[in-house]
Amino acid sequence: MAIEESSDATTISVNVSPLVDKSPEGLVHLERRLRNEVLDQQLREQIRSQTEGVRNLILSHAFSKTGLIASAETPASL
Amino acid sequence: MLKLRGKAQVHNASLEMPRLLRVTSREDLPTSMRSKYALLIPIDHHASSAASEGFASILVPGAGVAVDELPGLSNSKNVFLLSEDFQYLAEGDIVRLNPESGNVSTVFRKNTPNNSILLTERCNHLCLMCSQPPKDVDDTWLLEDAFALVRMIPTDTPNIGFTGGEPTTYGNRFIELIETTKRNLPRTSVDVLTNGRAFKSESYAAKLGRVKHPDLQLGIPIYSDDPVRHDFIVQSEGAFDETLHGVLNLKRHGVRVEIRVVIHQQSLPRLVQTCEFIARNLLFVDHVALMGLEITGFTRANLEQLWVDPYEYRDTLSEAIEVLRAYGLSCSIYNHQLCLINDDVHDVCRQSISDWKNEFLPACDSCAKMRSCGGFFSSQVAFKHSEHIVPYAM
Amino acid sequence: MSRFQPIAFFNRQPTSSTASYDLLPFRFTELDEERYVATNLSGEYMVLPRDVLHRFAKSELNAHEPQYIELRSRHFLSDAHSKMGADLLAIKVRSRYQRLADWTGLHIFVLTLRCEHACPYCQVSRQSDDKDAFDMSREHADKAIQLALRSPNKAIKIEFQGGESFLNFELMKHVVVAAKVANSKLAEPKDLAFVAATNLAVTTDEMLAFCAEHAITISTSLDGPKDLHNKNRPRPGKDSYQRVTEGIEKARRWLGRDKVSALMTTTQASLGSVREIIDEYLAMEFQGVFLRPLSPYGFAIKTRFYRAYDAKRWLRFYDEGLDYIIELNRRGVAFREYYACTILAKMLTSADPGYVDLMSPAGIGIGAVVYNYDGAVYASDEARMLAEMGDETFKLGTVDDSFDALFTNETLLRALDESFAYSSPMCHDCAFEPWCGSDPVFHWGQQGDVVGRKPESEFCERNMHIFRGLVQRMEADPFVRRLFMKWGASC
Repeated sequence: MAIEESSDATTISVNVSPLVDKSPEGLVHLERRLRNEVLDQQLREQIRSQTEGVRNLILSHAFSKTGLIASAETPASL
Repeated sequence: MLKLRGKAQVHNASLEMPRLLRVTSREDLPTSMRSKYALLIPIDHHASSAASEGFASILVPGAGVAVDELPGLSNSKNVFLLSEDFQYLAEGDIVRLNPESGNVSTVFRKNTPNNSILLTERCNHLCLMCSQPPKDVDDTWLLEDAFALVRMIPTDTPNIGFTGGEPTTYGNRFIELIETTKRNLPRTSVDVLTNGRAFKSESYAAKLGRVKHPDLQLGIPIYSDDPVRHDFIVQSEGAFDETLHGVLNLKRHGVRVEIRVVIHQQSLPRLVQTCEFIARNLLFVDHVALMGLEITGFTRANLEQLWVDPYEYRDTLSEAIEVLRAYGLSCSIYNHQLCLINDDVHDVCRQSISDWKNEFLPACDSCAKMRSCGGFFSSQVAFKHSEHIVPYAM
Repeated sequence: MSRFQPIAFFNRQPTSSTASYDLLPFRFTELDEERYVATNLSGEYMVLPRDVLHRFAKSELNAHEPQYIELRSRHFLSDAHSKMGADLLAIKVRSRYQRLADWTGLHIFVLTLRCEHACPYCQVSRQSDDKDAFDMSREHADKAIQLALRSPNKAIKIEFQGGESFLNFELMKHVVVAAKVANSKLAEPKDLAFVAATNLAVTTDEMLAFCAEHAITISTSLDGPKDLHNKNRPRPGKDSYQRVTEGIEKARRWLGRDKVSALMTTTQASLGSVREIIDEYLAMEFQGVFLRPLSPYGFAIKTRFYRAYDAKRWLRFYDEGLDYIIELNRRGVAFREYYACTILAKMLTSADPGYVDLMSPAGIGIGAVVYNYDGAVYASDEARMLAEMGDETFKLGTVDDSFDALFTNETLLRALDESFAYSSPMCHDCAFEPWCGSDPVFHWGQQGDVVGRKPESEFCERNMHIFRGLVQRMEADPFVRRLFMKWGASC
């Protein structure tokens, strides 16, 4: 696999040659896998940014002495 | 089925208000004690007026007897002529008597392990299968009675239960009741049935924890791991989260919790997943009970939505118990008959039905396992039970 | 008109358009061509087809799709119906890391390097009668006892290793008695346990009587049926198999049936015989077997045993063994594979199985520590083996050093910190990270880097293959799912 970044850092060119299966099917398969991997990494980025806040909240409370949900006060009788 | 409540003909009513009285058959009870007792006289017994003098009330179980036929009682106060149904009454029982209305309630029985004290009929849930349908009336007198009752119940009573409705409706007064029970019945184990939602307030859970009752357990239902399904079954939005929150707080403050799951058509589809949810998230609860339907109250109104023959779900039940056992959770099956469940779970099937509503079918007389089987609810015998009841061969 | 509302009334999610929900933190990794394994913050997993995973992650899932309810119950999402997920996850995460507060529980005493066996794959032993050169001294042992009891862990397990630990039986006796005495004098005595690793070839009745008296359990080596075992484990007289099998029976009679465990090591010769090895364990009435690969240390390297097979070949061996064990269970024979049990405990519960080699933060120093025969203190058994090969990177110090000095060793802390899988490249994104561990000593030894380049790591390759294999088997067969649940929940 050869990876090149364009001079203005806006494009990355990837040249992939399979090590073993050099058939057209093998190449298509490899390309599909690469595209999937890129999409997956994009998704991971998105998930990470979306859940970062609640993740930090959960972890900080996992290692603290208090509970997470603020205790709701109920009156003496319902 | 025993009739615990009824109406009686009352002669010479003179009690100002409803009273809790201990029941005795001892005509020779010292006179100084008699004002707190109701004397139990069998129908064929001739009591002398001296023997019956001084008691707060006289109880005569038997049908259609006019007071003049009981010569010794014509001057006695508060003579309650009870129906035959009340012939189970015995020494040491406690009754609530209302001379004005003639209402009689047996609130404590000496010869049973299952004494349950109703605290209120108010509830913030409307469970599809509720066996005690809620009433929106001020029945705080039930709570007041409970305070009096725990001071009268013999201290060697092994166990009592507090039920409703929703007992925590009384807020801090409920906590006080547990404290009073601890002080007056220090060696009696206490079971409370509650939806647990009030304990979402950590300070409320802390209050109960601070009582440090030596043998208290709260039975709290979670009907599904799916909050929508749980909320639907209890007919209250937001119930799942609050109950869960309550359970966590109770465990944080050292209160024993039993999770109860009633099995019917609506809870069955996710029964195994619910047990897995409990195992993954609530491993610290003290007990899990999987329960059969009682055919009373709302269950009868919703029977078509609820009923499923336990025989049909026996494998799912085994799988659910297998999950709980694999994770080391103490578990039980309540309210099921042995012939309807697989052999592998017989050892956790308890004789759980209160004796006063516990019956067997005629077919059971020839069953080899009748002694160890929990039998039926009276309401199951009367209205709906499995079609697969088969006695075990001797 | 019924006063009861239907279930639809309680479901605020729309029926025909996308649901409204928030993602909870999760990771995903390919299971196979079509499916992914997703794990939540607490390591609970779900298998999802690729398109469902993507739609879910992009908030495009419909509440009436079959996976929606599961995703909510398993804390991958929260919605208007339940916000308790975050609180429950916090509790579960806390449980998983509970052991960090306990500190070092396993204390390994290398009583001697002497051994009468000459196993080619051994890491350390010497055939020698020179006790002065290769036995631990009493002075060193006494200091090691003090260090062990200094650990804040309420439960301390002392493991006797070697060489052959019973060749220094005198010192073993002294350590047991002295440790118990010292423990009784503590303000809060520990829950003290002992285990002796031994080939059982030189154990006498006197030794076993002592073990019985002091509740010392036995861990021995059984590589398979007689020919295989003897080939792997030569000794004078070529009778290792006979001695160990007789020793197991004798030890059980003295100590109790469940007080004797056995480990196997896989060599080139073992590769074709996994069923026979398992059958041997069944014949010897063991409850399970731990299928172990070869470690890349010591004589294993020298004798080229380590390179004799690669990770892929061993994984075929492992899979064949695991599948055979599953078949046995299907036939009603209760028998376990212990590495799978350890992993399943991490997959299916929040409990920590306490297996030092599969921990993150790593178990070096803070999970287990080794007091060597010469008084040196090592961060793990692997660290000791590495030192035998000339690399003392993970030597923490000696028994003359203070507890604080040993456990705040700069190399140790840096290795723990840098190798923490959650923040390591690739591990950070890996769905299997909660089930895995970091093995800084292995990666240091193999790649010169405590983190390691995971695509080149046999540790990673092996574990990912096994993780995937366990999930695939559970997805494919409800019997296996129930079996594995029992294994994991009661590990």
